[in-house]
Amino acid sequence: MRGDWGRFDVNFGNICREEEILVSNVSSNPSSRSCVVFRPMEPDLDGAPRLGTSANQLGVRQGDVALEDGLVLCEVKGKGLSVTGRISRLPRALWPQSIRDFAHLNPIYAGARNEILELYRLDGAPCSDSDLGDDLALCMPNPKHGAITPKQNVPLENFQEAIRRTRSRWSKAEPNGS
Amino acid sequence: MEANGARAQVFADYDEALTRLASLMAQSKGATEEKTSILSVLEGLEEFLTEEEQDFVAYLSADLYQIEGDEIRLPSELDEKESARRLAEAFASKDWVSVLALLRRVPPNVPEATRAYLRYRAYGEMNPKLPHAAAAFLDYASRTETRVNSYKAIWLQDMTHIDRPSALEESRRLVWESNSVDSRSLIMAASIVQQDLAARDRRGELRRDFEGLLGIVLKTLASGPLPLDIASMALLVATNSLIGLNRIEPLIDALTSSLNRALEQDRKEALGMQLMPLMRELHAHLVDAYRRLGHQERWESYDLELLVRNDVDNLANADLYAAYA
Repeated sequence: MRGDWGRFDVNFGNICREEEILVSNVSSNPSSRSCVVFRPMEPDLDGAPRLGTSANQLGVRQGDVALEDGLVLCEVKGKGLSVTGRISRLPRALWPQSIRDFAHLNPIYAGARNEILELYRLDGAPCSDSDLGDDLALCMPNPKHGAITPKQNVPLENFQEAIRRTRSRWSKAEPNGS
Repeated sequence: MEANGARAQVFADYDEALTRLASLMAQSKGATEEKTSILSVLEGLEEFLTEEEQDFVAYLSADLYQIEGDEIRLPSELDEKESARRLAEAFASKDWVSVLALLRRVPPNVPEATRAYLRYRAYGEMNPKLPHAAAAFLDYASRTETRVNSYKAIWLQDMTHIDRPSALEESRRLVWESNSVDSRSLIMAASIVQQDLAARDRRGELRRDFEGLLGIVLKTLASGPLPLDIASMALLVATNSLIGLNRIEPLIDALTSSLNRALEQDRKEALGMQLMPLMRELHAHLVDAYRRLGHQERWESYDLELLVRNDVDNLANADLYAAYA
């Protein structure tokens, strides 16, 4: 395959740049910076993400977490409820069809095809290791991938319950003003 | 990026699965078990692709929305004339990546079928080829543009290599049921049907089919002058049908000598002139020309596919030039 396939969108001389949509600092104060993170999930009847332990529900599977002596270890890199700061780095098969509305930001989203999932955003998560409510923390070693983990080592059910309590904080990502 | 065997297979699998998904999504909205299954397959295949390759298939997915009538077309920074010029230039130089990129933003006055045809060419010509996606675009072009049904003929030709049962099914429909098919597509379809009959006919039980096919081909031949490549293909179909009917007639001698003269002169015009009157007489007498001639290799040297493709390429270019003329 030719190397120039990277030039997939030619806006007549200006190669479309990968924009980091929606990942924005909302405060100029570094100590209080917060981010928006995303997760594709199945919507429930009320529009909020469906609770559960399947791959695309609001909850974790046992394999998603680091367990030791029956406890979920806190803030282990890459372990927990997966989130991303870059929609474009989600697996394409998970791109909800609704993000085609984002195509004006990056034309690549015009190819989204997953009719089951919706893209949810969680506002106000801290950009670096710090609180996410009383029980949770966000480990975001890079903008592409991160995970919500327990702040302390806790039993799996406690972690699940803490995740469940965030349900109302997730909202569907919208292309404008999101 | 290396197109080694394993990597090419990943792309081949992705191509087939994604094209199937697009087809299903064109048929109905909403999640189904099969769509979900295909998405799982795609997610698994993605793990074997680089980020650049993942971007490429995402754009392919976006392009496939064209055949679903739901393509998102973004505005261009260039005016119509300049963008059409660049598209024509990229097409002429076979810069397929640029062709695809430009098509996503090209002005709306380039005909829909032409855009689909150009995508067919791009995805069919790139390395690795993506035959299912290419065929889907060509099928769409053939359904969208009835003025130039060569798209259908090329689709049939390609599908004989990709999905022969589908090619045969569509050929049968065109031959036995359609009243509005153009001569090129009809003869291509007749050729595919004839080959199927020949493969299945062991004891002459398909005689009526052969006769029906022969009648259709002869009627087409008699309908008026045809381009040489179509006439040649029709001749082969008629001849092979007569072989299937076990009808050997003396006119073959005249046909043979005429063809030999034309072929030796290597003049297509002469060949066409020699063939046409003879073809009119095939109603009664055409016989086993193909077998007796023994000139298969010279016959094939005319490269019918090339002729067909050139016709459509020229048309695609004409549309592009017309867009900014």
